[in-house]
Amino acid sequence: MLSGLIFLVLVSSASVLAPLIARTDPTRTNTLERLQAPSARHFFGTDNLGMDVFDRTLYGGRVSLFVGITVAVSVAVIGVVIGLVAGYYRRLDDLVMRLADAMMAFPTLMLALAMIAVLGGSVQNVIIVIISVDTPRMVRLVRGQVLSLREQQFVEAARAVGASVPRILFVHIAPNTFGVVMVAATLYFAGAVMTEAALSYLGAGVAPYTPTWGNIMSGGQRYLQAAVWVSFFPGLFLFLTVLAINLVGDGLRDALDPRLRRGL
Amino acid sequence: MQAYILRRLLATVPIVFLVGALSFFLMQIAAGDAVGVIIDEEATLEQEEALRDALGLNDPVLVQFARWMGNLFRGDLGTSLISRYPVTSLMSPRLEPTLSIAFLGTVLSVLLGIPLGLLAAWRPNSGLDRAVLFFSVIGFSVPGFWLAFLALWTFAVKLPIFPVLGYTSISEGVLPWLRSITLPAIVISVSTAAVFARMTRTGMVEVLQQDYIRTARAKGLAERVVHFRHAFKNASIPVITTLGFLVVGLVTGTTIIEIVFTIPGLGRLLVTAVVDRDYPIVHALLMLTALVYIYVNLLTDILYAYADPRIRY
Repeated sequence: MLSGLIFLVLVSSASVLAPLIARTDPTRTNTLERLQAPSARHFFGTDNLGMDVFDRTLYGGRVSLFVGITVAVSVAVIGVVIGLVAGYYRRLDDLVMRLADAMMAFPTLMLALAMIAVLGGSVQNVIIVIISVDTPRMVRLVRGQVLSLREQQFVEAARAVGASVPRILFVHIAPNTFGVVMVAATLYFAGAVMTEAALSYLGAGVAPYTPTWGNIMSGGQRYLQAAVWVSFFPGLFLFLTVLAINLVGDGLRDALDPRLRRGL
Repeated sequence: MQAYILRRLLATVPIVFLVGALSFFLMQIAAGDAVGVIIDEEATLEQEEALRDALGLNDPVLVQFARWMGNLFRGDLGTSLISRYPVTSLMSPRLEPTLSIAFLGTVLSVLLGIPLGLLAAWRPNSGLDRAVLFFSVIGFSVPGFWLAFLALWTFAVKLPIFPVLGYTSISEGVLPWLRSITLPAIVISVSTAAVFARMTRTGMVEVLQQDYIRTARAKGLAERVVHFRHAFKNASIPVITTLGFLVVGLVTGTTIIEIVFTIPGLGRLLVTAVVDRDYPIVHALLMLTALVYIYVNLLTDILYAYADPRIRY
């Protein structure tokens, strides 16, 4: 878990500081230095347009992490609010759950691709699409928690002293879902980073020449034989970032859910 | 049992209806653009209007929805906006590659994942257990398409054992067919195997703490028999239920892998349609995978009820 956290801090600070670290403009072509192998001058080599893969990978991290964090936070917030309300009011629960079931019947990447076909590709739309795909899953999770929490004595006690429904939901029940929501949010963080890269790689994500990990890999695909580094390094960063987030998620689960500590 | 199956079957009706409504609504947002995709730029407003009439886009939304659902159940999935072929005829030749890869991928992930899980549960918290857990975290963190790149580069470019690209139909011989789907199948099986390993391990560790296992040990049964004959039977139940989900996951997971390995499957059809904004194809594939998901899910629930008589809802 610690190594995951350290790696995440490193990647995010490198991405945030990309303009200071990068020695080239990540969108400027330099045809004199096409497809060069990794060297002291270009740590990760250059791509078919002579752009520095190291610099582009740093900039790519900005998009990936931005999408990941925005999705994780939004899904957590929206999911908790809808889940709390649905779990508390039985009538609403039926409707919301049927809708969530229907949404969850669509495989993640399929639905994301179909929505991109309709909305068009951009960072903003990629975020909207991933949020829409993940939220029903979070709602279901929170709602399950609420169903068991609302039968407990402390909720009954709160009701007995005359607490209002919003107060019971947000002050008494919500804090108890925190652990589960945090663990799920890290999973969605990792998933969003992966989905963004996949969409961009498929040409259905962020605009083609913007440096994102998926875009760089997609550009490098045709040069796999001559210049494997173009696709290799951004993919390695994607892999290590997702791995780091998952390790942190595992650590969080062990720390927040003692019931699972023994089992997993 | 029959009543249970019937009840579950009926329960899918509203879900199917909702799924249809959702995907119809999604495509409704795009419908304005559909005319823009097909028509020439020089077309007059009248021509555009005539096309809308011909496509039925001027009818009330509910009429369009009813017509679309009706066509769906008759097996008519619409017509491609670009090639003008029926979507079903575009899909049928692409079924074989996708299903081949998904099939081999399923077999490989079961063969790899379950033994790894059993191995890990043999001595919980041992070095071996930690190694399997570490593999499983890596397995579901590694991006499939990056792994596909690595596999291609290693086994097709550097050590030319497998063909670099493309798909060979099973009708041209089993061996060339296997050669063309082995790399993609291995790549997609890694993440699923990781999930299987983890689920098997967790299930086994849980079951091994139960009283009947203590009884079995007390009878003096060999540890091997306790693990494989007694514990695995019960531990495999949750694994069976996820098998359905994961198989559907593999079918959709091939989407991106088909692009890397340039295999002419359903995933490739979908991605091309998304980029071209060929909505009927996107719509049909979306709806079909959702239907498959719903019924595979139902099937695993029924199997679950068969496998574990304690469970009856």
